[in-house]
Amino acid sequence: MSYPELFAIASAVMAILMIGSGRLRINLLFYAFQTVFASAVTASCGLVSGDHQLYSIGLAILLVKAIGVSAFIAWITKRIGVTSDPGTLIPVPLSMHASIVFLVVAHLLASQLPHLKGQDHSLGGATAAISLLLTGTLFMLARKVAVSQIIGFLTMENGIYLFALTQTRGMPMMVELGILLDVLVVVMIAGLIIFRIKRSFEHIDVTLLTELKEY
Amino acid sequence: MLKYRNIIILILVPGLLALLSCFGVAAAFCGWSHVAGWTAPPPVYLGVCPVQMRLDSLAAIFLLLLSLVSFSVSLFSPGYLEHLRGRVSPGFYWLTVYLFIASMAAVVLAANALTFLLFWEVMSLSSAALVAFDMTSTQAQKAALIYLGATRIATALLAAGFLWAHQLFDSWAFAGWNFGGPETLGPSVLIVLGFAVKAGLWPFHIWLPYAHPTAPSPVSALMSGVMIKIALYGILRLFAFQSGASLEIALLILFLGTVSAVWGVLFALVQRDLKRLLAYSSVENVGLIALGIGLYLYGHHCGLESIAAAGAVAALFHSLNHGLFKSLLFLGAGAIDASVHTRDLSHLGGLGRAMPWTLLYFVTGSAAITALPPLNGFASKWLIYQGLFQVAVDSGNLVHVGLAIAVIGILAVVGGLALACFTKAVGIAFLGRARSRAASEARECAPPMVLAQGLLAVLCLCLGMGSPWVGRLLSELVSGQFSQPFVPELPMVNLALALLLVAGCLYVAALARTERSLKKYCSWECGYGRLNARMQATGESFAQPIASLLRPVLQYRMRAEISGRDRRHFPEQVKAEAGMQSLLESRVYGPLIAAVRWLSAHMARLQAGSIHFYLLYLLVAVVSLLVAGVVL
Repeated sequence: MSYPELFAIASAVMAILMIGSGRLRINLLFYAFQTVFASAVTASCGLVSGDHQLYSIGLAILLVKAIGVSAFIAWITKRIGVTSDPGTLIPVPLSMHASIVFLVVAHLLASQLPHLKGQDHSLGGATAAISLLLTGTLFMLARKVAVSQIIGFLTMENGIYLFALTQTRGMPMMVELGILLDVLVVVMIAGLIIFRIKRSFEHIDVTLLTELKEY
Repeated sequence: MLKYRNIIILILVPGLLALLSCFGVAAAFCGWSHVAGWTAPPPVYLGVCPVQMRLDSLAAIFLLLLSLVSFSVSLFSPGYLEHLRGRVSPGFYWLTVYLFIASMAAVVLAANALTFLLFWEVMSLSSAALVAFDMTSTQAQKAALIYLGATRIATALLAAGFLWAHQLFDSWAFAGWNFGGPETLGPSVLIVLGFAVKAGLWPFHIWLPYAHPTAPSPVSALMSGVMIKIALYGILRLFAFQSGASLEIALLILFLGTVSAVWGVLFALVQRDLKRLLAYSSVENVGLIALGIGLYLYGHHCGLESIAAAGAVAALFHSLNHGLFKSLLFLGAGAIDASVHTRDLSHLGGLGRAMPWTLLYFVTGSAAITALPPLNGFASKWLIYQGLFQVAVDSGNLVHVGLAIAVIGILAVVGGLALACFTKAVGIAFLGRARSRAASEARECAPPMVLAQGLLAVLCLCLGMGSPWVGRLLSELVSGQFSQPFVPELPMVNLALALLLVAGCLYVAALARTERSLKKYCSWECGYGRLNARMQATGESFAQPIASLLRPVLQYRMRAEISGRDRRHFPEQVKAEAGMQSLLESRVYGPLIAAVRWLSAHMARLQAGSIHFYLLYLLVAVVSLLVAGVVL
């Protein structure tokens, strides 16, 4: 097992640990770990392929996503005074076990994908990526609080990023940085929207947003 | 401030349109003899192909028609807008009309499919905006919705056909397309149906009788006179003037054309609204033009050159003619509307005395549309007959001979019905006595409006008298594809002379017979005295014999009710009610729309309003895509 593969799988495991807690700060902490591992995948990919641009991208991910975004969301949860999910749609242990099953399914799916020649980390990378994608979606599905939706979305984004990183021979630096900027902007906007939802509805429970639908 | 605004709206804006129209006429004459092309400079680009224009003789004909009609519209509009004051803002009207006319010109000039589609969309949407100008009335809302729906369907069919054709021929330029082969049947059918929706061919014509009456009259003149011709221009451009089409397409167009001609004129006959009547008559005439195109394609496919040439010349000539006289009639209806504020025939009557010029031009237009010599409608219909007779004589295939003879018979019926229809329109609106107070107070419209109609009427007469010359010019355009030049036989001068002679004889005979008419009425005249307005024939009673003859098609029913104690001698109340129903609307489109509504209402349940449901859809989509990607 190569380093990128190891870090990728570790990132997926962090996601599974993330979904196994109902407390938002712990979720955030594991999201941060998961992103740190994603940046480690980037850097080790740079080590394997000898592409030095990947180091700087990994550093950017570490600074922006792992530290910046996590701190921002932590600040938001503190501001609106929400610490944990009031009640999940799918029980926490059940969703954690489901995400373990997803990891297996992801491995089966990834083994069916055509592999890149000369990159021995593409199988583990694809496994972790698909697993992160499914776990992130499940996280969004299972939780009621709007902050969890953002964290789930960011997990999905990590999965997509890892897939792109491990299944191609590298993207141009500009594209990577552009995606990073997009994520930053999305998080900022989502944070603002959460403030507004809190102000208008006095809660951030998205299951109650059905009252917005026009009949 | 107000004064400057008036100068701009009343003089500068229409004046600029008139000037541009003159420029268009000049360009059309240049384009007749020289082919000119233009490609937009680099930043303007449609993704896969450039914006490209090409002016050749076929485009020149339609550009000429557009310019002539828009010139009249520029004269007519300021006066007409007075009548709509408060209901439409002149700024909106002029902006949209400019956009509409410019996009029509661009569609005619487009040299590749994407340019064509782009301007086609602009044309459709700007005309839909004009139909919807008075959104406060429910009638306008319905009309705009139906028209918008029709344009969407037309564009969808065209886009699908163009994409398919691009895949077959690997080119976006029309010059690279060739619909001769059997493998092109799919895209050809899609494209023909798309154009048929826009042209208003049966059974896609139902938007016309809604959209034309609702739009302002000058816009109806543009839509009916030019826009629906542009759809036919598309068929001509892609099929007739490339390398022909397969026999199936030719027969499809012939069939749609024949049914449209009959259907249109039948429904025109029983309409009460003058502009609705004109709209249905457009369906009839579009059918006739389609017949011409169908004849061309048939002749071309079977190698019968004289049939093909007669069909092509007839289609081109009738497009030009119908554009002129239908615009004239719509402007006439607009003049009536502006003066009386109604288009309902049962409230008109006796307008001839108050509006003599409008009467003269409306009669000219009606005579032209009913194909009376020496006006232009006669010439083009004569050519269609010529083509059909040649099919009957030359084709050699018994089935085709039978079909040709049947179509000739149908055309004769259509001609007769059209005559009845326009006799009704002119007679009920202009002759007799006023049927309402508004009609009795009618005044002749403003001089520029009269001038606009006069211009079109004179053009109709000129094209009629000069039809041998015009026919020769058009056949020169067509004859590039034939081994022998085609010379249309149009005995216009002889006919005109004979007609003049007959008219003179009748006039002299009438003069000789006229005595001083002395009318005496006694006090108790038992209804035999002077007619009053309520004793005249109405539009319904005029159309009733024919309508009741064709009951099954029109779903015509008539109910009379006489009530009172002694109802035989002294009825207290006499009530008559006539009704008809469009079979297509009630039996075909009605259930279709209901089905779509039902389906949409059930589809809307998917939109539950819950974020978690949407996430579930997302998860299911992602998983199924992944599985599909791995398995397939």
